[in-house]
Amino acid sequence: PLAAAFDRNILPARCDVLDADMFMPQSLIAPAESEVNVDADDAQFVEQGTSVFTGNVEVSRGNQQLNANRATYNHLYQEVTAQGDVTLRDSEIKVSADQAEWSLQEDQGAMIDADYLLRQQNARGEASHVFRQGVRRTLLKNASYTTCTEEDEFWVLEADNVDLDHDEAVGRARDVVLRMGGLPVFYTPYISFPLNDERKSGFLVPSIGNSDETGFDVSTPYYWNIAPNQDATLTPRYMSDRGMMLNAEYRYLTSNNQGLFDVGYLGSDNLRRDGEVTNPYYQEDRKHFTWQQQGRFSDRWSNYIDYNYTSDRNYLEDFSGNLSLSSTTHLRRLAQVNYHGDIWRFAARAQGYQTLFLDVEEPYQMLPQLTLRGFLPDQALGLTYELDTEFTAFDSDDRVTGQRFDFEPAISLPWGNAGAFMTPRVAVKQSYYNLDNVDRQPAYQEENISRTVPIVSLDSGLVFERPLTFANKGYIQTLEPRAFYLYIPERNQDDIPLFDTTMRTFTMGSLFSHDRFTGPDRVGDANQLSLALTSRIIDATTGRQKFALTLGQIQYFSDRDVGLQTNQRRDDRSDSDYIAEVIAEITKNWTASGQIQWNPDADETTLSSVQLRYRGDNGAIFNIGHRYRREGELDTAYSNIIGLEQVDISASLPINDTWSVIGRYYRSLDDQRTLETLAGVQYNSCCWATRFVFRDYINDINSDDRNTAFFIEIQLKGLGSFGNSTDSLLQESIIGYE
Amino acid sequence: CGFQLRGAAAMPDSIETLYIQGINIRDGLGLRLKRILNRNDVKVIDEYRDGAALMTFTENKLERRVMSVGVQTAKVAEYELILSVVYNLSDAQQNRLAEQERFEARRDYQFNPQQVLGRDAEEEILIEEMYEQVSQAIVRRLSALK
Repeated sequence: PLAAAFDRNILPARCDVLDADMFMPQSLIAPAESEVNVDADDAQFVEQGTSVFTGNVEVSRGNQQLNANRATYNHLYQEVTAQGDVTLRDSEIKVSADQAEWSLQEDQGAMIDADYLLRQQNARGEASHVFRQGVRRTLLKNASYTTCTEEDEFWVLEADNVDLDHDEAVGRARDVVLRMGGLPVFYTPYISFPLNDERKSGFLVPSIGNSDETGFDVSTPYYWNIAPNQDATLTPRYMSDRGMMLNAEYRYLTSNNQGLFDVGYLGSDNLRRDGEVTNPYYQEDRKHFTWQQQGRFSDRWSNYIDYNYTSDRNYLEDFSGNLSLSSTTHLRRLAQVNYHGDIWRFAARAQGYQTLFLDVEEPYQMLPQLTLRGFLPDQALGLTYELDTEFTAFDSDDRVTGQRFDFEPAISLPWGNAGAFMTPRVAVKQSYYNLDNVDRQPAYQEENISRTVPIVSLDSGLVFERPLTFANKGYIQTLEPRAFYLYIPERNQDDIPLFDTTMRTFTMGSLFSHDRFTGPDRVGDANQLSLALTSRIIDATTGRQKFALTLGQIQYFSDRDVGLQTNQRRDDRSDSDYIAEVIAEITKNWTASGQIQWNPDADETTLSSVQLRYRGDNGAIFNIGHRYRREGELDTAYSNIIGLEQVDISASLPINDTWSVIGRYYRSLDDQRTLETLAGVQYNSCCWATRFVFRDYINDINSDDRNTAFFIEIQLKGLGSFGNSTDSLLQESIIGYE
Repeated sequence: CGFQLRGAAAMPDSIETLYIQGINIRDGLGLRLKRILNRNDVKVIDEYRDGAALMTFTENKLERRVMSVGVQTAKVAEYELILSVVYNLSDAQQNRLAEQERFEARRDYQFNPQQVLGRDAEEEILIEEMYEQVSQAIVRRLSALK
């Protein structure tokens, strides 16, 4: 997409890229070892090994070449003096001037009042003196350097001395003035810039802006290319209201591991008051730390680490500048080791959370959780054996703690072919609890609890097909009825604390699930039959699904007694919500999807969701979605599940080759409040790019507190840039933005 | 009205023996895909050998996105999970059978900040559903190859 051009130095399609024929082919042979060839319309031998050539003179050695109208060549000293439309070129640079001297022996050249072009980066400039040292280095005096064309010279560096190191592909300039639109805007005693597109250490695009949370806000990221498999980005961030923060990200990649560290540190928060509110962290350290790693010890053993820390609850609200992050309620800390065997899979994990949300209980820590899962299909008589075991020690400072051991063997008999399947399955779930600190919560008396529940199910389905022709194209339409019967007897589980168990969100998947709860602390009693019907339309030539519609519902044959709370009212509905899902690939670029849940007893819609997505061939992105969720019965003090009605529109649209706009409008319709507004424009020309982004979003539990911010970034192409901070923020807001 | 029970969906001979790279076939999507392919008479092998078709995953990305934010709390109300995979497929003679084939699956769930541990278990179930959905879609795509 065009938007990405900002970060990858991509030129718009219409930009003229220097003709490769202007330069000599690359050569591995050192010029000094090649023979000298001279070609001209006319040659005269003058004296003592000196020849004079006139008319279309071409002196070449290796991949170096000099062209001129007239040249004198001394065979003894191997010196060329050239006049009139002189060009000296090799694989990297082409220098043009009126006169040149070239010592073939010393492999040095000198030119006065010259223009030059560099093959890579589309760079060019002028210099009062050019000294060439072989093909490896070019020294320029009183020089200019730019990647802009002469007609559209938006920016140019002017320097007393420029050293172009073609081997390292780095340019170094001293006493530099940056002119933009002809005006001097910046002076630096030294700057270095890359001469090719390889990753190199250097400053990335700085970002300048203002936000309610930080005041005037400037970030100047520096990219450090430590080695081919590791790099770092150091970002000093100055915030006028809060002070100087230093952020650093370090990434590594080895044959077995990949990961990153990300840290941020603000020595002392200078903000005394944030509007009406006193800043609770005034003159305190604010910091964050993240470590993520994925790795493997061998083919079968792997590890995963995800550790996140912030110094306080408000850190993300104050510094992230982004609704996705500021709306985070918990930060995970997880270390996990996995074994993947042919039959057995084993995992050991330690997990805790840092809570950023004030109104919730601290979650339990799992120290540790061990799981062992076995899967043995296609045994005698076609039987499949499964085993799920789990041991978890739950720890907490203020609640009942304990260990849970869960053991669930299952046996099933899958039968099926392309047109039909049937899977009877029986499992026995056995759980043992050993509770500690029961004095902390009077609701729990028993210290040792065991529970055994059988789980019986029968899953079955048919697949019908018929050919279909539509607009002269062949399709296959399917009709796929599916029935799932589930029986689980009731067990009183009120004396078991809820360590990790809550109600699952009701979705199509719930119809074919063995449990309506997320964890083993509750096993929901069931005597129910789920019926669903799916119809797909599949492109007969590609096998890709064009359209799918699924309808389903659960019929309950008995009331559900098991609930999350002790004296929760039994659920006596005789059937579940109807649920319908549709997904359609309207054209190659447009996709629509929708979902509706309807409660026939109350004659009301529980959930509806409609989304329309566009992905253009030119990188255009457009999403529009409407989502409604009725506030459910669970919305008591126990759970925070809330009703909502929201519309979310986001887009990243290239207007033409150079301009694109990005935006998001995310609004809550039930109380007429905008959750996030984002608007940005982006300009990308042949030698520079700029981006301006405005965003405003709700930032705090006190939702009157909004964060309004804008940022501007200017990139001068060819002065180095690889990725930058706003980009990842935009990805969070605009679905599909890359 | 023309509907008939689906007959055996013969997989093309060119992918009878298949080596999968780019994803782990012992876990997650790879394991699920391997089992479904085995059921459809495609032999998924652990070590590459001559004569095997080659399925190379160039993308296997699972994202969690904030889908909605509660207006009263300014905190997450629903999350969305997005699984996207892209693969290339070539037969034993290195003929390209499929280029940059992309499949996507999405699930969303209500987030209850009172029980963050429940989220992990719920995600696990939804992720398994998405693996199943994408694997089925890949099998449908493969059976259309001729």
